[in-house]
Amino acid sequence: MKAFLFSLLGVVIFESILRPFFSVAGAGPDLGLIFTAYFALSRGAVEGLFFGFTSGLLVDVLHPSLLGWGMLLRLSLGFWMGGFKDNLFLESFYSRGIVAGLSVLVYELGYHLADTGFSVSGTLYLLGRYSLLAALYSMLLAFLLFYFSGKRKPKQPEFTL
Amino acid sequence: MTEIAVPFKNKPKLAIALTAGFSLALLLLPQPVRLSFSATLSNIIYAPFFSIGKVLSELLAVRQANQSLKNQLLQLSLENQALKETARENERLRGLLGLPAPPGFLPVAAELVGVESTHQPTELTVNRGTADGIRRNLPVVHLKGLVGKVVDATRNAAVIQMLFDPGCRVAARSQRSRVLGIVKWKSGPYLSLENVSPADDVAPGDTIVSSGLGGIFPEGLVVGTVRSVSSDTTSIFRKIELAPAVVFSALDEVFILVPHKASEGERK
Repeated sequence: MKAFLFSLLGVVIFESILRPFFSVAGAGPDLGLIFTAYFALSRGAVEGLFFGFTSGLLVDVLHPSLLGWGMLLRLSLGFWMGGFKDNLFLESFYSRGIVAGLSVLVYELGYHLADTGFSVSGTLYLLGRYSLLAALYSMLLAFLLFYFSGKRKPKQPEFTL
Repeated sequence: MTEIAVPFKNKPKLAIALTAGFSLALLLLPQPVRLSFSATLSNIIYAPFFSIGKVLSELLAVRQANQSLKNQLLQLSLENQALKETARENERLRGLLGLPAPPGFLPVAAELVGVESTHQPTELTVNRGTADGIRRNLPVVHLKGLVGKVVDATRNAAVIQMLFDPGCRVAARSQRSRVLGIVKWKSGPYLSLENVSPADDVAPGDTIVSSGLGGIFPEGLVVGTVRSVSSDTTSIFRKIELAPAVVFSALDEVFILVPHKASEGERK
């Protein structure tokens, strides 16, 4: 539970303070979805769903015109990614990072479609201008997250006689 | 891997229904309610972090402004130094404009381009030569007085022998008592007025000017001020020490006096 709350705190700090410092050409990583991918792929679909829901709420309150839509997209993506939890193909941190990057791209696509009133040209422009870079950026950060979380030694089970 | 105690862990459908339902409910709220809800929630969650972010960005802005001001200060300081130097040069040149050239001479301004690197240089090189009408034995002056004479000239440069050269002699007289003598250097930072008999009236503080009798230096150029006069009446000549009028170590521009007939006519 601590990891869940600290990750949410990380999202809040990132969105309120750190985002301008991490932006490259106007695009920044989506920390909420990176953590959603982390929880979904390492703990399961329901965990991914709940993290997507709460992180979506935290991000959406900053963009109230589409309040609820971002949450819906994130919880759906969290649940969808959770389905890959036990997939052997997703054992390596590379493939997990790619899933995280793809989820950012799908989220951006869905969000921009709603934001532009389902204008295909507007969505494509925003996707090319910001979202691809944001997805790539998020994928790189996700690589790091999955790499370092994979290196952490699991706790030894306690045996009692 | 530690488990997270999420609700409805074993009822994913219910979890989806609740979260998606809540999200849809928010999405379908009327715009004012949605804005009010967002504002309230973001005030509760984000306000402290936004304050920290604001302080941080202000600190960064102050840091950048500080760096920029430091650069500006450095630039202005350099400009200020250049302006001060220009002002000093301007003042000096204004003074030189008022230099009273002796009748029959025109002053040609010359900048120093070389000086002997000894503690008491005797010669210096200037950037005027025969192309500017400069030739040997022309007197050289500064605003404050006599500097020396030209001893050599090429097309674009001339060598000036200063009063501190042991070979330099200036026919001079006391401006007050008109007593004649010859100025030369003997030793140290002072000049000497020679060939003045003990009976002649020369006193400390007298201004010594060129007499014009030597044929090189025109009359009336200030050579120096009498610093001390020996009271020994037994010797043939008095020992008179002069402080030169010109500070030779601080020269940067001099004027070479070039004979000019038209100028002489105008003055006459």
